[in-house]
Amino acid sequence: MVELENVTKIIRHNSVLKSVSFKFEKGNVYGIKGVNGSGKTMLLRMISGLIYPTEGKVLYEGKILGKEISFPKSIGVLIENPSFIDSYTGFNNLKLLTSLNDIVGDDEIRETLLRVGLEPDDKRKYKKYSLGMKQRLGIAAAIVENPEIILFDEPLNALDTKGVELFDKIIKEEKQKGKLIIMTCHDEKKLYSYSNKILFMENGVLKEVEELE
Amino acid sequence: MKLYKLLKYDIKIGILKRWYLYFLVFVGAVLGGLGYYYNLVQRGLANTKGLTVINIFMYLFAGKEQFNPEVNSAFVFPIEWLLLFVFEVFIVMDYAKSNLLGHGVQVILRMHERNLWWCSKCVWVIVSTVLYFAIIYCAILLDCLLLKIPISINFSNTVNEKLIDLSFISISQIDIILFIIVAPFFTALAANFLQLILTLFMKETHAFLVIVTWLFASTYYKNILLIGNYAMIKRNKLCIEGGIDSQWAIIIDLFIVVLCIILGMFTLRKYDIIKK
Repeated sequence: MVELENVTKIIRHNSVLKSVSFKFEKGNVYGIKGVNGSGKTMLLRMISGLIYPTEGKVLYEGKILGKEISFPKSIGVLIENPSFIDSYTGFNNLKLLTSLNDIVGDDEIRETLLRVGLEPDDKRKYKKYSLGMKQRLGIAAAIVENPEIILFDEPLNALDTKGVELFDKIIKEEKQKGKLIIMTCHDEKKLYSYSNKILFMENGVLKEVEELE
Repeated sequence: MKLYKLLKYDIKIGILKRWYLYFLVFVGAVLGGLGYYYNLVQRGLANTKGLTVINIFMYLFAGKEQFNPEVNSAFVFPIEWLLLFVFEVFIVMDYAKSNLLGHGVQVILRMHERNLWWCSKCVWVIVSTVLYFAIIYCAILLDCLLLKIPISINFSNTVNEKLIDLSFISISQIDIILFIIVAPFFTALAANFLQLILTLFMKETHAFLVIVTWLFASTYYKNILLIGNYAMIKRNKLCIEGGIDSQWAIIIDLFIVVLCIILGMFTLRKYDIIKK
């Protein structure tokens, strides 16, 4: 579904990804582990089409990102700190985003907010949200349109125990739907529990792939 | 259809949510108009025959004669003219870039197309510029209604002469419209597009400073490369020998706009959407 062929990325004379090759298949959860600065987030950005390789190519269903298509056709992302409109409620923020494609309606938005543990009728504006609530809304934005590919960068950041439980459930459900999920997570135990395969990154190099099933 | 939806989003987030900036423009323009009238009263010109709204606009867009170091006097900046254009570029300074690196990430991924995002931002810049000038014109028209200054295409040479040292033996209505509407609008549009493209290569504040410096330089020197000259009546060929030709100025402004649109499209195709 998504294939990286000898992907190298150089930013300001630094190689943040070095000749990474890997094929991500549908229906799997891939966990990416590695220390800070090892290239995990860059890899997610590369897969999402937000950055393009300096060398090599990223293919989405056989089409080259950055040449034949700008972005994967159906993708949801939570990369770093999610950004929303401060003066909108959670519901209105998702409504604004989904209005661009019109593939989901109010019911799906409400359902998604409930899945992440947010109250759809909560009148509080985003700027009044706690960090955990902001993170939940970020997760909701990534899954609301039922995308084929979901990228989560540190999804457990700021989540409380209840939030983590809800996220566990979301991963399980999305996995059952046959989605391709690629994620990073500082909690290695959790990362292993979610994933089928673990990719180990070190200094921008994909060092090892661990099969878990 | 996608472009329409994206544009709707940009109008909502980039203009309606930032209504206070445009309100500030309105208040500033109303106060500016009142200040002009106060100036007239102070000089005993308030009841001058032939004084119309055009006198206010000409005052606003008169600009300044080129700095002449041989004349032993300090250069006085055309404050109103500078404020008008600097605030114009300030309003559009950061929206596009901050959107691209913030909320826009979610938006651009949903659009599946980088060029669509760029086109929408270009249209947004045009809409913002139109709105900015529309607000200023409306505010000044409101001043005229309040102060009972006639709204007419004619104007008083006496007032212009005494206030801005500018008078015309004859001038066509088309030239007046070029001076007070077309030239300032297209110049502001070109400045905004230049700033928009610069933000792709540098920080928004740096891009803003580059454009502001360019505008400042325009007040000092008469040069075709300093586009601020195009929006100053005092630098026009109808006012000085070897001055700016309005029609050429508009063509150059449009050329800059088109060039920026095309350059932006090519840049964005390879652009890393990442906070550097």
